[in-house]
Amino acid sequence: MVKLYALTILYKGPISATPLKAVYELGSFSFFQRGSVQEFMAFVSKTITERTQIAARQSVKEGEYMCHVYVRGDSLAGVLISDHEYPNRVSHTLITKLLDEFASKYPPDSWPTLNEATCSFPQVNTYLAKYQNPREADAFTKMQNDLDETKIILHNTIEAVLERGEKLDDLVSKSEGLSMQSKAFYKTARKTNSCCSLTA
Amino acid sequence: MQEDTFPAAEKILSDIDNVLRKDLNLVSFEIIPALDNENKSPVFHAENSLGLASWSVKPLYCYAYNRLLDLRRNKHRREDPSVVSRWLMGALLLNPDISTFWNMRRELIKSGRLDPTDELRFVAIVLYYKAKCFEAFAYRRWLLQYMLVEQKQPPTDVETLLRNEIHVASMSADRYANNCHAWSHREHVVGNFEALVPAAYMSLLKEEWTSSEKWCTKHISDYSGLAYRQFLLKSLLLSENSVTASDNIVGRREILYEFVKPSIRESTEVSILRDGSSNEALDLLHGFDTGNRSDIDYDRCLINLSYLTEECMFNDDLTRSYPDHEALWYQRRFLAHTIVVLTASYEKYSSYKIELFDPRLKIRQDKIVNETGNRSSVSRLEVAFQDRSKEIIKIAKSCGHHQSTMAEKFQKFLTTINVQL
Repeated sequence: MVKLYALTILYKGPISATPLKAVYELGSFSFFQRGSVQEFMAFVSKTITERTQIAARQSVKEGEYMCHVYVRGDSLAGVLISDHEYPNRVSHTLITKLLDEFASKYPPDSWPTLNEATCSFPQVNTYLAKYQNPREADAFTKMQNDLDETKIILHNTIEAVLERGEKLDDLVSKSEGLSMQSKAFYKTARKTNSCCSLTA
Repeated sequence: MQEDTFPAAEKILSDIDNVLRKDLNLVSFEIIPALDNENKSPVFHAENSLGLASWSVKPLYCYAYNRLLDLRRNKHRREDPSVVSRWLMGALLLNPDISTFWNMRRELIKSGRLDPTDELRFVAIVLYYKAKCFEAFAYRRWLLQYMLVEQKQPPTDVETLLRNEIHVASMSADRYANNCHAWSHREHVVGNFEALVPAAYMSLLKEEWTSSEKWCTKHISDYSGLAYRQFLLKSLLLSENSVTASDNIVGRREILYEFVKPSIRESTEVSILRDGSSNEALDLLHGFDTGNRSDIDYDRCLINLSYLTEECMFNDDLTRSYPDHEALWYQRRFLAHTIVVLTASYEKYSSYKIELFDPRLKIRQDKIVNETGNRSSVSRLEVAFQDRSKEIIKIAKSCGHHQSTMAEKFQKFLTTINVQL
């Protein structure tokens, strides 16, 4: 399915990453799962930003989902979670444009002290909604297509992004951002061997 | 036995039953992962959604299943139908693949113990949870048949009833990829619609045409949705209704013109396509001079044909935007074949007939005869399709990988139906 689920702007500090703004489109998930799905997407976005080097792009495939991350040279980061059928190039173009616009509103020296509560950046909603149809959004980004696709590092699982010795299971059980309910979701999904597929 | 160890079963079943009965706008059912029971009820109900905690699933299902099998083994036993229907509800909600249980519900419907309208709501909830369940769709069709034909008082608003079916099919297709059962249910309902609500049939077809296009733009590798569009396209192509203002002949002609425009060189042809009579335009498009027959509605024919060209352009567009999706290439094969069929049909009848659609081989032979037959000029329609295909294949080959392999296969396919690029 050509679909976007989550778009997050983060600040990658020296130790951990802080989300500055996040928006979700989870209508296709069933009602009682939405909360957990959202927590998971936030968890994955933060984890992956922390494990991406400064000035690097990565795209990670996990089941039927794609997670795209771009950390700029100045430590501002964007993560987009989409379905795997959504075109990768458009995803990265979207992140680039979004971060540019964000940086023009908030100066770099304010990023370390910003957080989701204090930061007002409604444009992120517009981006998520508009780019749901990549063909429409793509039309005007094609012109300024300076994105070098060969520089995007591709991974086939989330595990591949983690550092040596790290396990996703451990990260999940240690995470403070995930509720008991979400951890139960994770365990059940793991058992049925469909890590991120919470829909069925 | 297992069921005796789960005393809460009847209470849980009646809780679920209450939700189903009281919340007329209930949308969904799902299982909520939970590690233990924490001594709380496993039934959750909020915002028209029903959830059941996962710890209760196994004992609850075993309870309902064993009770039902017990009942069937002892034929002489009498059990209150409302209790039986509750067991059935529990068993089918958790595992709808058991035809025996659906059959037991059919019996309850026939004896008037269950209301068919309530039943349609229940099956919709089952389909939310198991969207690809064939038994559930089969039972829905049986219910429709029962309500529309066998019931003593048929429903007054057939249109709403059938539109609801389309809604359920659409929900199921969203919930599960490649859900061919959902789409064939939808085809079945469209067929019913044609027979029972003929006045609104054409407008339904057009609505379906638009909404399935939207759906296919989102689900680019889902052939089941494209197959449904093939079904719609055939229905539109073969339509014989007289032309009305809602057909928007000017707009449809514009779509046809847009399709052939890149392959047209002469200005006389442009003026025929834009301002000539429908008969002249069709003759030019198909490359036959069939004369003007008074028994043929050429306007209708021209409008019908425009849907085919619309689909070709839609396919062009998607194939360019999303490389590496085989479903799109298979759709293109269908379109290539359809163009050959329509040309043959037009030559023979000056209109489009269904009989030529299926026997693929026969078409090929007919076509060979045509090569030496009475073809007056090239078919503008075929040339336009070939030009567009050439372009698509060229782009696909430059993409490399899977996309170029699929382009080659498509080219090979064209030679089997005698289309030369």
